[in-house]
Amino acid sequence: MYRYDEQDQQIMNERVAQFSDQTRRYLAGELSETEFRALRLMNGLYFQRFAPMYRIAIPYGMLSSTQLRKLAEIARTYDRGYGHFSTRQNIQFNWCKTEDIPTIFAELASVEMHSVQTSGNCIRNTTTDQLAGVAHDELEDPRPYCELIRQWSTFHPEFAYLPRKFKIAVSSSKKDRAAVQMHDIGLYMLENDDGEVGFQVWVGGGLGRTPILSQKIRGFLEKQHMFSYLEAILRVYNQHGRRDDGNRARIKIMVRDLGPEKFAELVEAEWAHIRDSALRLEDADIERIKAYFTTPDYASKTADSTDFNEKYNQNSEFARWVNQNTAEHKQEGYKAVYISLKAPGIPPGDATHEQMDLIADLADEFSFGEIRTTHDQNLVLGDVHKADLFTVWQRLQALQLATPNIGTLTDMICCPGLDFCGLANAGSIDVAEKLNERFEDLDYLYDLGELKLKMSGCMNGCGHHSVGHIGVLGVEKKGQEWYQVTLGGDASNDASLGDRIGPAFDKEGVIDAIQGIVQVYVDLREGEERFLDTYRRIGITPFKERVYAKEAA
Amino acid sequence: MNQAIKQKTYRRVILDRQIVTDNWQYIGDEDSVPDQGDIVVSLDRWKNDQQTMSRHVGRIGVQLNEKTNIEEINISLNHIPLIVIDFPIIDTNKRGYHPVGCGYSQAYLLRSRYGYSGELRAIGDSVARDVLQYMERCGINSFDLAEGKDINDALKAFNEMTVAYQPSADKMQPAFIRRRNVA
Repeated sequence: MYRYDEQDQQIMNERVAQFSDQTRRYLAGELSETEFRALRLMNGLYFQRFAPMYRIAIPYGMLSSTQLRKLAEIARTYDRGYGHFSTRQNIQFNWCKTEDIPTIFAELASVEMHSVQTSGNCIRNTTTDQLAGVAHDELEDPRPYCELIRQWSTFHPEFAYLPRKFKIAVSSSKKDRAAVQMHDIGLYMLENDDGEVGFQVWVGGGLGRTPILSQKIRGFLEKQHMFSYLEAILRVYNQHGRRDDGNRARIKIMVRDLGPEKFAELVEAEWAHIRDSALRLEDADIERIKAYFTTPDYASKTADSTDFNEKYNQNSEFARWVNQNTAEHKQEGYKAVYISLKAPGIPPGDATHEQMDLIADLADEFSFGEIRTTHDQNLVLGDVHKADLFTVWQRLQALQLATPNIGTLTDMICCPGLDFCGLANAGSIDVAEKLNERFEDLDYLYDLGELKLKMSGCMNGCGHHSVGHIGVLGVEKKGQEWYQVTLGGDASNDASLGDRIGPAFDKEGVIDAIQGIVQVYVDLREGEERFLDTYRRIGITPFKERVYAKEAA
Repeated sequence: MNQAIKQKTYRRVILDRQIVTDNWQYIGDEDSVPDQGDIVVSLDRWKNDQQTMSRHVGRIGVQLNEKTNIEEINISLNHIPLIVIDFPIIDTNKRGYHPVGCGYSQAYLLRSRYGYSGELRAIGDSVARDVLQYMERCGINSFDLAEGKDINDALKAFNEMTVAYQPSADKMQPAFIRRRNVA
């Protein structure tokens, strides 16, 4: 994975010193709340319901074991012993003290990490496929391009005060596992007719109050123009995006209002000025970054898989975990292992410091020292040899990290909700817990197959409810928590936004409603159809009839 | 002592990283233009009130606002001795107060695309120590700080970050280009 050179390290060290001084001036009363607000947000520090929340960037989801141990240490020393992995592949801590943040930031810089631009109206962490570099359906490793974007966007002087936040995602595989079309800019890597690999450029996606999927504005962009094209989009947005109304300030509103053709015209006109400027990448610039993303020494593990096959056939619990929580690997004999952070009774995405330390150890022993975070709020060991799977499983199990529910209904995405967040209108963690109780039968879950349930505690949509196969949105009405349910959303290649089923449910009612919805699918599915396929075939009516008839009865 | 003279006597700005006494007077669109002295008027007034402007004894600077589309100005501003860019803080409908950042792009365009080489000044509520370096990178070389800001403290901003990742309107060579010479 990428390692800082002297320049990267110097930039981050200088930033630590700068933010330490800003925090000192704030605590000394030299900076007002309002003045400090923009500065702290740009460094990942929110002031929330009970305590500050500190969000740390995990660039495109890659962590070394050293970095994960540092996060464990931070959880232990400065927080209450755990952290929360977010849907943007980042981690956040909920109980840090403001005066400790500069020290934590310095700790991060010591392991080549940071918290910059994880909040505020600037370019946020670039995200990608959690299987980048190991996926069997990948065209080219997207991570070097993500790293280039990370560098270009970090402390970009012109784009530190955009109309709103700005998110970029890159995907290079057949199956989009990075929810590209929900991002302000999405880049799909693809090959043109001449066999050259470049990017297809999509703009104007985003969830929140007005969920919109992005639009394609360029069919093919050569790699050397990546910086200049991104800069052209950002400059058009920074000059012409709306600033009068925070709810209409995202680039998605601008693209929707202008239309993608007109927007593309503006971008192309701007780009014409800068495509051959200093922003133009040379092949060597790309190669230099690519050189960090080496293929692990797969041949170093020569153990045969006889033992694995035996255990797989004899131990049904192990087999179930292998089937559900490991993914195909481009390298024969290897698997990518999903570590489920969705154990029953645990808020989705949370991990304790003991768990983080264990995962770091497993990464060192069995996966070339690297860990990935996913936008579904799980972790991945990218390169585990089949012969090691049984040991890895046993050790994960010991710390409740082997719940075999990846991709099932209980592998839900969920924001921190009313329990932590200053914006939330309703609880989401408690609903997740009730759902876990209701759907505890694993065989039933497997029978339901791929079913993406996504839940947000407010309109801002951090839990991606709009693109859940089943989406749940918490709202507040007259001091009570209510839940709206949507069906048929999807975040992959053929992305779609969910349709609202009808009036909202109370906290008990929403669990019954979801059970009813799932039962309609079981009754009406044909063959191997997934929930989403059935929904797309039969529409919302049968679901509506079941759920509200039940209520009336 | 009237307002104009008071302004003239006491206001200090940062110009090219030095503290200097400022002699420019900002003239609102409704204000009458004084007979002499260095004045700053809005771009609209400068364009539309050529008669007054041509009579004026003294230098004339031009102030842009956040709506100004640099690419649609259609008149060269390159002979203007001072261009002022506004960096206000606005209330964005329940999302709190946010610094308005289109001025960064306006500055970048004037400096690097349109070749403006005169004094490019930032004014407004968000002009304070912690954004000066961003502004300077985009081509601004003059800073009229927000009210109540310590001008000596603000000078410390310029040396905080010594490496940049991307090119802008300044001379800093970005990391990815510096690496070409290391290999």
